[in-house]
Amino acid sequence: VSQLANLEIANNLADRHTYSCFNFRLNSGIVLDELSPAADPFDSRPVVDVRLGSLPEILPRARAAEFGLQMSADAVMLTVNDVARYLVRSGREMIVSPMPGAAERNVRLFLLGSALGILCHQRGLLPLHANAIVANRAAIAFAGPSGSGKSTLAAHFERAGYQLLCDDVCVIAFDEAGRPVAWPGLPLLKLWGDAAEQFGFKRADLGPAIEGMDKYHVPMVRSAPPRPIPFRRLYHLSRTEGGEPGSISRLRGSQAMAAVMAQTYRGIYLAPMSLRQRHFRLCAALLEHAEVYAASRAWGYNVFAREASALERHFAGPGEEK
Amino acid sequence: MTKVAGLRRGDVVSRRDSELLTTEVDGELIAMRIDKGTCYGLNSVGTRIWALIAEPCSIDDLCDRLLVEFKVEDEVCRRDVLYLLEQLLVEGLVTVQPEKG
Repeated sequence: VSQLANLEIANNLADRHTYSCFNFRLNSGIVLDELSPAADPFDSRPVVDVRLGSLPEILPRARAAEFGLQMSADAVMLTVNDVARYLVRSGREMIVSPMPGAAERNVRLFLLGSALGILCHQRGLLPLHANAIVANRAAIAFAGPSGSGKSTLAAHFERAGYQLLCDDVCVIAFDEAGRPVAWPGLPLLKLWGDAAEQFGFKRADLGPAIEGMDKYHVPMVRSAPPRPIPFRRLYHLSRTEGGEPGSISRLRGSQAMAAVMAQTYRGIYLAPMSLRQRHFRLCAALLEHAEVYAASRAWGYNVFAREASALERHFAGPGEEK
Repeated sequence: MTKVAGLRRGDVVSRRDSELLTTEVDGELIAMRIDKGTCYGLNSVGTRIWALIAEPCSIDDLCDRLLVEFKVEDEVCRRDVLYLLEQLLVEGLVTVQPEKG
């Protein structure tokens, strides 16, 4: 019996894949083509276990919270109707239980979205809903509401020669000296069909990011090696009204704090996870070393390049003094 | 005697430090109520007042200190201080002990 059990484990191990994911790795029984393999044998980043499993509708000894969450002593279970249940435990493992008939792509979408957000919170990281590039050897992040053109802008800066760190989620950790560092994220950009074609891709050649939506995964040209980059700035993007020219201004004090808190990825989970105090400290620690700017931009294809250049001049420059 | 929303100049104000997480960003105090998760920001003068009431003190003593530090008229100072303290009290960031005697 024990030999059989060993054989089964061995088989499972053979089917497992190790992927690079921020400052850790995923050892996964599920193929995750969205991620880069962690191939370096000397990679010492901690490993998080990901596997398929069956999860009950009601987690035993857990309390129900908002947003489809159930909280037990060491785990959070997220239920996404018609997609899957995800159990994230102690920042070290994720169990995925797909609903019958769910599209695999959508199961992975929420695994690498909301569930990964929960994992980051459990691991004491500060994930921002932002993409980021590397300029002057520092991470520059762009946040803003859906439709403010974050990913299109990231694709533009990549074509202009900047290295992309991440799209959608920028994960910040703190080094031994307490300074914030950003880790490379998923090496993909999510673009709407028309934006993707503007950058020379064909819809037919791309994988849809979400089943049934005109949104696509576009591979990054220069995805970053798995090393931390000092985090320097966050730009909060918005659109100007009626074609007014854009402007960039430094946010300070409580305004900067409010921006970081509001741009925290899956920040709504922090209260049910009882992590608001630690989150407050992480945001404060970030602002000891990083600057926050509000950047408004005029909208439209005809002014896109001009507005992107204004932003580029700003992030490449020295910024405003404290 | 100046009086705003029940606050008196002789009342003693204390910070509810054990109920709060605080930090300073760009010289502005930011406080979070641990029970609610609500955050509050103070401007530079408010942040100075927050520092001055680190040890419980009367509103009168607080105003006397501020009159030394800031170029402000006595009446304006007392009115603004009472207004700020009233807000801090309503939001649960400070407590007030009534004037003795």
